[in-house]
Amino acid sequence: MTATHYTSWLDLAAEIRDGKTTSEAVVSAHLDRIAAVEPHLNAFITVTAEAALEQARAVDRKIAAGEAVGALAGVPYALKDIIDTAGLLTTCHSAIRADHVPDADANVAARLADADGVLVGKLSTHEFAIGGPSFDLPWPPARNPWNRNYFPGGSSSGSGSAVAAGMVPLALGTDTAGSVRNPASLCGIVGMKATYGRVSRSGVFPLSFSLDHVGPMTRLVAENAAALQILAGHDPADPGSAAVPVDDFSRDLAAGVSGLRVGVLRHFYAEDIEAEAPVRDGIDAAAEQLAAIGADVVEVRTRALREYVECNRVLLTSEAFSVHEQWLQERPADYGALARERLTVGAFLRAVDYVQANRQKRHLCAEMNRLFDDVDVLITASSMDCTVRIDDPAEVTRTYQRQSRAPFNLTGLPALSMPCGFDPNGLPLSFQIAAPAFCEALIYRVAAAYEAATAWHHEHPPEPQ
Amino acid sequence: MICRALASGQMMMDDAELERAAREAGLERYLEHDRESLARAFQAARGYQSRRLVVAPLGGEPSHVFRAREDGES
Repeated sequence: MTATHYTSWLDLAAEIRDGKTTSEAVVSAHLDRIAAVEPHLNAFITVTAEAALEQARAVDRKIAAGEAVGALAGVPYALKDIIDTAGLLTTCHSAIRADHVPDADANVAARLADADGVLVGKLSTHEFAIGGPSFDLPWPPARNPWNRNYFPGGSSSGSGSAVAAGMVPLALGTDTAGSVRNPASLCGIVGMKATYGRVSRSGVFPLSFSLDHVGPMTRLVAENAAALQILAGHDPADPGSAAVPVDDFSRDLAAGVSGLRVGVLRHFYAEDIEAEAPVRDGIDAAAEQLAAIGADVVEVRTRALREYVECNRVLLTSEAFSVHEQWLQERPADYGALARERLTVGAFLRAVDYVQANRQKRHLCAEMNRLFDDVDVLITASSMDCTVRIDDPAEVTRTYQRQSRAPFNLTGLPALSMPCGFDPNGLPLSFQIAAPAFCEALIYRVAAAYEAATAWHHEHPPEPQ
Repeated sequence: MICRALASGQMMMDDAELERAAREAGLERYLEHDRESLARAFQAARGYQSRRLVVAPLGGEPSHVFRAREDGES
């Protein structure tokens, strides 16, 4: 390990741009890190070492020639393997797509490439971004770098694992019921699900059209804000893309929280679902920390968590089955057992279930938005449980459902997960910050203030043995 | 307003009901491949239906189009 592996991508980009190092050196160091760590973690499906080094040299040549380079300036990144990459295998971690090579980049992949980022590979996921850690797929499931015997969260499992382990400073995940924020939570990094429509999904294999989001995963808040800056923007190719101005997401990172009103959705994790004590205590301590640095922290209430989660689930499974119907009919044995079963629930929901869920969604959105009459941001739990062993499917399934991320997919509101401590086994704890639609800069302001007041982000996983 | 939960649906299922549901969804191959898994998926759907909430009033529809606006309403 060298310091490079845990250096912020913002610092790496500045050093490359200033000639203090080269993209080739930075990318080589990360490829060496991948070679050393990946056999323990299974975060990658494909590593693009040769192409990455070629891209890195191209960036270095641009800099040497005095040409302007983009924000990523030769920094390495990786993509969840449901995000299309032209000419490069994009498997959805499934035998169904094991040989699929897209013709074009997804919008987000193109944006990162245009910013002079260097793609070093494609990351493992739960099959088609649903299911769970599965051992019956062509590739093994990713593992948690804090302890490889533990579940790293999902479905963007490889993204969480790779960033936390220092294999890349930036990865993209997707989030339909929490799949960026869950692995961010369990791997101790920062994951943002921006407002629905803020980031294009074109070229990303869909799970649920009305709930899918793409989001950045990084180790630090400032890195995440800068990554969203690259990703955000209207894309006519995505019918859900919002034609709204893109803020400067980093503008208030140093503004602090003095005077901000923070609403704690405590009933989600203290009443509706009783979170494990370390989780509950961690979030409560985060709320106290925000109060200590000047926020006005109050408890707020909305509808029961179950209403949001079940409504999200009916919409998700209905839409997901519409995507997978033909494959599930014709080649069910080509799916892993977990994804096959979860994708099929939607086959047995009726039109009236879907319509009523959409009607309920509208009311739940209004209920959640009303909270912002009284507070600026919300905080609540991400996962309700400390992470569990990856080889215990019953525990993985039980804890997977115990979460409060889905309300922000349903409402489309931006929500970020970040670390707030460690459980008794030394694995990360987390909480979420949410805000009104298109107010991501406000979330980053609060997150940066909390990060600056705490030291969790200085901790890194142990070196794998 | 979300006003009431629907009465619980029929939660028990016999083989004929599962086979009919599989046939209607075109999932005969799945049924043959892993009957227990398909039964669990079927029961999960029934569970969602039994817990479903009915939304009233009827005004303001359609609600199935996401309406994000800059003023924070969605």
